[in-house]
Amino acid sequence: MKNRMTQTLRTICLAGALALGSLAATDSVSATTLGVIADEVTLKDGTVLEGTIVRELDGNIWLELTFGSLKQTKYITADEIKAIQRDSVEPEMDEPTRRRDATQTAPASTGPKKRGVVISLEEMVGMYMDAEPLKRAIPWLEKNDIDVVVLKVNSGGGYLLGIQPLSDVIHNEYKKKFEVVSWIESAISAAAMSTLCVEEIYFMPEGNFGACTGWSGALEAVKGRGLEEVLHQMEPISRRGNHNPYIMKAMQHDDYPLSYSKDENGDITWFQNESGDVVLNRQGRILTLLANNAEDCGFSMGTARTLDQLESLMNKGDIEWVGRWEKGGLYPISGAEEIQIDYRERVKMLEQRLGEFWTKYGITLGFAQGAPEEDRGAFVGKARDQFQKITSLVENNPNFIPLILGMLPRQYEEWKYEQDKLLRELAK
Amino acid sequence: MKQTQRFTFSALALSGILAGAGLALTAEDARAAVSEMAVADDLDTLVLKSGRSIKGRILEETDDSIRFMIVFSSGLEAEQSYDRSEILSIDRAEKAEARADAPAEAAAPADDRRSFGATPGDQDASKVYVLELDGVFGRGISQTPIRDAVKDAERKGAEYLVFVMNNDWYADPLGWSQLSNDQNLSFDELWRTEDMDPIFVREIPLGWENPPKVVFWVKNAMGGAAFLPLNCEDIYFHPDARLGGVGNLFEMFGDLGDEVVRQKQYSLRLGHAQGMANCGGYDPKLIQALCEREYVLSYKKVGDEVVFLEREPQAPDEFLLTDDGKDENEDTERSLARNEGNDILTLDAKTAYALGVSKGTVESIDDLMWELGIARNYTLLEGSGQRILDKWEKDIDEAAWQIRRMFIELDEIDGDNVLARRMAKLRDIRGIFAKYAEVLDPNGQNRAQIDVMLYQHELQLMLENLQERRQRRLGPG
Repeated sequence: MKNRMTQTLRTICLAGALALGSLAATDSVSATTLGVIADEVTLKDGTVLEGTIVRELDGNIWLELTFGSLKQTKYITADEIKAIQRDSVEPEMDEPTRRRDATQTAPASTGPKKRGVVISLEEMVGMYMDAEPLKRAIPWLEKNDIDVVVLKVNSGGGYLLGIQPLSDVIHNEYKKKFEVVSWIESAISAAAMSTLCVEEIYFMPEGNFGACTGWSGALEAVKGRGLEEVLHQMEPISRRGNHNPYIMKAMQHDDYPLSYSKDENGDITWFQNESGDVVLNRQGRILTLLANNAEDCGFSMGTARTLDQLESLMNKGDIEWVGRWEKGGLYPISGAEEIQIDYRERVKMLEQRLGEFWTKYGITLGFAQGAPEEDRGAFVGKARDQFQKITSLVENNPNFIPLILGMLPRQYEEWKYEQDKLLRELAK
Repeated sequence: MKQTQRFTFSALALSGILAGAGLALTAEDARAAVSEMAVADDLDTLVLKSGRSIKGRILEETDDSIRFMIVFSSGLEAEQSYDRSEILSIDRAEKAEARADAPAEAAAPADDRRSFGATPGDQDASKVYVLELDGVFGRGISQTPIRDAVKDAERKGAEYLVFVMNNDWYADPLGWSQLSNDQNLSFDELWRTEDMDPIFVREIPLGWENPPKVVFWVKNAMGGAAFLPLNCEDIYFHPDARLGGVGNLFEMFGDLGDEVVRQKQYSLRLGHAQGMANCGGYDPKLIQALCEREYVLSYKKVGDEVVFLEREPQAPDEFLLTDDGKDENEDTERSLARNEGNDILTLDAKTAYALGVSKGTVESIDDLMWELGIARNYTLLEGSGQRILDKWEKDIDEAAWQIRRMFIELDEIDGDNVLARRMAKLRDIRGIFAKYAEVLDPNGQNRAQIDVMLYQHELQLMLENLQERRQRRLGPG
């Protein structure tokens, strides 16, 4: 997964939170004035903060502060802390995760068959595997009385930016309207992170899920503050899917081994070390789960090669799979799936065209700048034509600005202004 | 040694003119280009009523027409269909001359090497279709020809589909000596395997009305070719077979970047490879032993079951497969030269059988049929599948040669209408890249570069036209 958030963008996005944080640090903010039981954190500079420690990692803490009806979480490093006095309940860390027994029989169906669809989530997260087409599919799903949505995932990851919107649309919209299930062919990096919010996960026999280390450029890792942020981001996403956050940590960084023990009832206890009966990930390695070990540890509800097998594993009774079957197809293609396919094809076409227009614009501009004055106009006209195609395409797909052009919105606007000015100068 | 020598070249290597693209002429042009030429005697000959005589290979015959692969003396080939009404006589390479108006008969394969000797059977005989996957993996062995060959097997109603995996793994371009087990390690050919494995795990089982039993017979499966058979449950080994050549996974990135990101790359790749093995029902630990030099793996048999142990043997009934390859355990040059190293796992017939990867060791197709339990009554189906596979690699080699030659011709273009002629040549080159993109231009970069060149030429042409028009307006002097 490439971290396409530039340092500047990351700073911008955090500016608001940091501003609130620094304001709090200058005052002895007390939640006890509101009559709330609080942890008390004394900083080395003498500042005393009261709030609720919602997360800890290697001595660093996230302290939730309350200002009237507003809550804000402040990140405090271990170096800054002099003392902590705790009064709040410890964050849950080693809670055994009971997985629903896949052999439990579903309640007998008393009504008509459930209607289900399979929606594919494929290719690069943030570009092709995106929240937008999922949102667009919702009206179709509702109109066609769909009960069950299977998200079939086959993606090698993508942009950090794409994770939260995808997770949000699945958790906040899909899960509220439909029974949502994941069927994993390959979910690597951002693809795993964005679909971790689904509780009911099944694997294909060849399935793999994990390897979520953030990186960019020449295999340079996301480090320091950026790493802490994404580790923190994934904890609530893990809990959305009722998955122990230890699992995702082991997929993100090689400092986090992972093991588990299973008791006589089949309940799993997870350990962020190698002390469990089964070691899934050793120190110094990054975790990718496979179909068999995912099932054994309860992360997956089972392994299905075909849709029929998946249906029988899901224990939702008989399902009418909506859509048209194609020869050799794994599942029928529904209207919702067509929305995904069309979206990906369109993005691919637009991405290719943007690349084409960008290259042609550069070449034409070069010709315009080098042409004799009497011939320049024709080339400037051609360059402007390419330029307008670029701007039109980008403005209809704003995510292309950071993801393909590698610019911040402000930088794009500046670039656009400069190019327009250059073309006008050349045309004189 | 193979009858045809195969070379490994880059996309710009020299070759003859590509048969398919270069000779995509009109029917009339193709026929006009034919003449009696000195070609090999093992070809069929069509004698037309016009008097012309054409040598080549009969691909398909019906009552009305013959589809024929013309073979020129230069080695070029072109496919052409002829109505039987045009044909005076047919001289078949192995059979007596037949009259053109005779009913269509199944053509004997021109190349005996491809014939496995059909065993005539009755209507209940098991129908077996055999495809040999030889050539360079990812080049001669590729998804398009495999897919087309499998379609032919489906048309023929194959009940058993046998893939003979025998990829090139040569130390020299002439194919005179094989690479050792530890040489040319190619884990990342996994991604080419992933281009092909949908055929085996999805298209055949889900697409056929009556899916056949898919069997892999391994003769040589090194590099990415090692992963393909592992998608299937039924694997047999030839006595001299080996499967491996992917032991460089944890060395691929050297010291590039941060260790944690390198570990991520290793983990996701291993996950993909182990997933394939899961499909075929093989233990993921085997994959790790194939791929990771420091991975220690032993095994023991508990009844019929193989139990893998991630440690050195501790009892007489435990056997070492791979050690950690460190210090005194590091393979010596002697052991490597003799293919006896155990830092990484390379499966031979004996080990593959012991581990349950291979269901048996067979030396011939007949032996394989016996292992499959159909030796008494089977028919080997004849089709165009093998020709499709063989032609593909030949076409790829010729396309690569053609591209190289055309770039040289591009630089030599001179005289009138230079830009227009260069653009036409560039479009032709692009067409070849597009046709064989999965091998010659998988990420589209070559085509993108040609598109840039074409656009530059277009602008240059525009500039010249503007200047020419201006000169005409200004007049002489």
